[in-house]
Amino acid sequence: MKSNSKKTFLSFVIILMTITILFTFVACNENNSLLDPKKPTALTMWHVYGEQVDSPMNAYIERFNSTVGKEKGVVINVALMSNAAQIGKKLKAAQTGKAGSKDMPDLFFCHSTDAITLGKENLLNWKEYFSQSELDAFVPDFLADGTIDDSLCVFPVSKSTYMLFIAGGVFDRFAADKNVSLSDLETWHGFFDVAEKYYQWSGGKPFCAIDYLIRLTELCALSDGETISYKDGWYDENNAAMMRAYEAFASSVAKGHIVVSDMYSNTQVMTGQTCAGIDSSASVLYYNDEITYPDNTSEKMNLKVLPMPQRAGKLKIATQAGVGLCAYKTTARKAEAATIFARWFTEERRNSEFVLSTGYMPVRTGAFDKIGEAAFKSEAYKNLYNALSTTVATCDFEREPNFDGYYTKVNALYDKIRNVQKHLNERYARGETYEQIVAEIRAAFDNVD
Amino acid sequence: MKSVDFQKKKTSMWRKLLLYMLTLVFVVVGFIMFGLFFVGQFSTTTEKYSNNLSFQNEFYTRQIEKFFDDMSMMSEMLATDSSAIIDAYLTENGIEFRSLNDSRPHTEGVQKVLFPKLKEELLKADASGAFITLNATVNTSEANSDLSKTGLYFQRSTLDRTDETLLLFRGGAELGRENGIMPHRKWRLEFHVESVPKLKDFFAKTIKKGTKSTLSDVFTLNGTGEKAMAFLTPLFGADGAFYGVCGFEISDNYFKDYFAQPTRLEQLTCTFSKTTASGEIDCDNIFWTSALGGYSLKPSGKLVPKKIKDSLSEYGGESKFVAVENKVTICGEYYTLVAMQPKREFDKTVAINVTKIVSVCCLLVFAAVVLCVFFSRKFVAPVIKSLEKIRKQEHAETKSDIIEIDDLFVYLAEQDKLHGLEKDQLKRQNDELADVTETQTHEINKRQAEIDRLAYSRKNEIDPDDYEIFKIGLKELTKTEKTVFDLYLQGKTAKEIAETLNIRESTLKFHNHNILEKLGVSSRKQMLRYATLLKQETQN
Repeated sequence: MKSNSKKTFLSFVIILMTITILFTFVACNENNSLLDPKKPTALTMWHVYGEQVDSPMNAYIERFNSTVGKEKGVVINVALMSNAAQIGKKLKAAQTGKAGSKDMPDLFFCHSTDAITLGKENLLNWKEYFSQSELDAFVPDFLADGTIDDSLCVFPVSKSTYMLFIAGGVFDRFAADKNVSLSDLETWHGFFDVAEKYYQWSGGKPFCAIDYLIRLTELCALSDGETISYKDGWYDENNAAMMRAYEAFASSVAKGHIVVSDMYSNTQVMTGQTCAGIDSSASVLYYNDEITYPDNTSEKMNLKVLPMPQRAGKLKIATQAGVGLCAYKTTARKAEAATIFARWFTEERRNSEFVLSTGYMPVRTGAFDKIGEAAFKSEAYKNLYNALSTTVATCDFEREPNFDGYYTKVNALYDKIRNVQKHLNERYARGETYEQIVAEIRAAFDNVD
Repeated sequence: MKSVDFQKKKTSMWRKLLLYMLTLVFVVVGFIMFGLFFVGQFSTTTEKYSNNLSFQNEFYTRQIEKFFDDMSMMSEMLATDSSAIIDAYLTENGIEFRSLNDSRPHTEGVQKVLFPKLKEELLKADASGAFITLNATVNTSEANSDLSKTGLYFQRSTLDRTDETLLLFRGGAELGRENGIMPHRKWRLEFHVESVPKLKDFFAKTIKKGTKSTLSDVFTLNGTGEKAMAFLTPLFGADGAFYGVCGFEISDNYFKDYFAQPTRLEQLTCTFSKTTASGEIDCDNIFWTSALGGYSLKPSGKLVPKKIKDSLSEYGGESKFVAVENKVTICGEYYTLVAMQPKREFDKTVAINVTKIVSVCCLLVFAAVVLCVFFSRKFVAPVIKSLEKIRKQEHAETKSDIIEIDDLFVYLAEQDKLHGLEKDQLKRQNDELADVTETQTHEINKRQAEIDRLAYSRKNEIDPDDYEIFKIGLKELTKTEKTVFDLYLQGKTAKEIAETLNIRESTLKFHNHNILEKLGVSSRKQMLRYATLLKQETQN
């Protein structure tokens, strides 16, 4: 009798242990992933792609959520779309917990300067999540652009450079009248000359609005072979070639031939204020299809895109701009989820599709060569990628300065120049001289805060 | 084949105990289950989904109602204030409203005076944009100028409501720049009334003061991929003249962000759509939101409702949902608010719940049976063991773990002792009886010999008639008398007979008298002689 009881009890214990071991085995045998498709990990995202126009990026995120994200257990929620400058400010506010600020996003697109401000220790080092062979597939310069003290904090997703956008119809009329052509815009000398002619032809309208004037002067100096030096977080005034270039731009601004854009140069082109704009290649997405004048008459934009002018007989230099993907360091699970998205989003084919729809350059080595095979969604995009091809083929790319507070000073300088150009006519009418105005613009550079 | 008679079937003590225990367990579990069911702990997945989604939808509905109530109020205020500003501008410039047409100074002038008001109202309102569309155009000579209207249209630059950066979607670009509101990248100078549903209606017919506000259908913001709805309120001058339309824009991204639901329901989707006769929802023309900080996939295609149970419905289309719907009236039109979760999640929950219940039940039954078997065996084992000891007479001087069994062992030991004593006594009595029997046998043999001798010697002295009377009389004896007669034949004395029959001697004498009389003898001696003779005859 006793032995029977023991047997029953032992059987009970063995069955229980078997069930426990079986469950443990099944649970552990899934994989090493921290993600669970049944309980997806939600990541909030702030991005810069397509603010104001509803973004192609949002469509990609929806596609990710409904495919790979669904399968792996990752969901991306877009919490904010804005421009890079605004996102930089908001990130800082969120990190410091400023009253009324949004919560820090899990994923965001920003410049390296903003990443430095946030602190590399607070950001995911993508090198820990991508193998070296995976990283080797990316353009080394683009990786270097996002590296802070050996940590790859800003993952390259897309890169842009500056392009010269021209309202085709307006330029054609002007060109016909003044005997100029688009080829005149290949050099800065030709550019300033055309700008002057346009100013005269249009009755005092600036030819071009420029988004990144200070960077253009820096590129001109670099094409002269100058190594740019910095002092106290700003350009050293001993950069002789740069100062010469700055004088040239300042002179053109003082004459009213060109302007620093109010915010985005394309808004000045679409309102008929200028004929052209120098802007990021990505601004193609935002160009209006019409120019509307104050009397409500309008004409087709007929957008033409040219490579940025270069200095004749000098090195051809282009800027390498654009934000990259950062992940705020929180949990291992979110890090894994962020990596899955980054890997998915930068797959060669998808990356090419994305950059083609947004006006960026692809980030994988050799991907640019394959762009020619793809179909463009409009003539403007075709123009853009022809110009980008020329730029890639003929220019060396230089990274933007990425030290803390750089863009604050740049924006302060632009505000001063805008203030000058806003009252230009009045000041000349009051008897101020061209030299005085150029000197004021120069002083703005020297005394930027 | 052996038949089984259940009624007579006997079971062992262990089986009986096991049966009782199992019965007890199942009765208790049954009561607990009934109690849990009674207090609602066993509500079904359908009920849970229905309750959760209903609760969520009630919250969402209240939010929507409040939002549009507030928007209606804000829009009315904007209309009233804007009309007053326009009236003041017209008075100041000594012009009529229609003078705005073809006048760049006046269209820009009226925009300028309306500019701060519109900015202020947008920053106060919960909306992604605000606009004032005036019934005038700067250039009537343009083609389709009747569809082009001057005015102002601001949009918030981001979803961040703490960010006061605005963009100029419609209106004078220069005016915007001067006042720090940069043109939107898809800016236009004037409104095209066909770009916003229902807007054209205000300008196409004669509008009278008192015309109510309305909410437009979902439309795509010109030049962008973003969808929006517009809350439209007519503007009237002090004299009742129709000035235009003002109101607020709600973009789908703003809606999604603003109405994100604080909830623990996973993959919750809440939709907002115009009620249709069929109840179908066209996902291309809806606004939707999800759980705050959570996730849900955008519903797509056409969703067709089908009742499941109570308030719960199934919405089928490209994806399937379980949902609860509410209806609200906004500006006199019905809108359907649906709180939904993916059907596959619902199905999964149902499957999981069923599996859980079945597993728990199986486990409980298994555990109950095993425990009952174990404990019943454990309980019965010492009893069986003790009985075995008793059977084998090995219980003396032994102990069990059970008090009652130990008491029984003690009792049985005492009984054994008593039986031993009784046995000894009986043995002694037996021995005594054997002696007595031997003596008596000897006496009987002696008497028998005497009787034989007497019988032989007296045979010829017996009167045959008397002997015949004796035999007849013997048959007439009563039962008691026969017993007494037999006892006399056995050689018992009168005293012994009286003791044996437990009668008094006087009674015995009475029986003796009757016996002698019936047998026709004069003495017991004669009676015994005749009886001996009769016995010999019978034996011969």
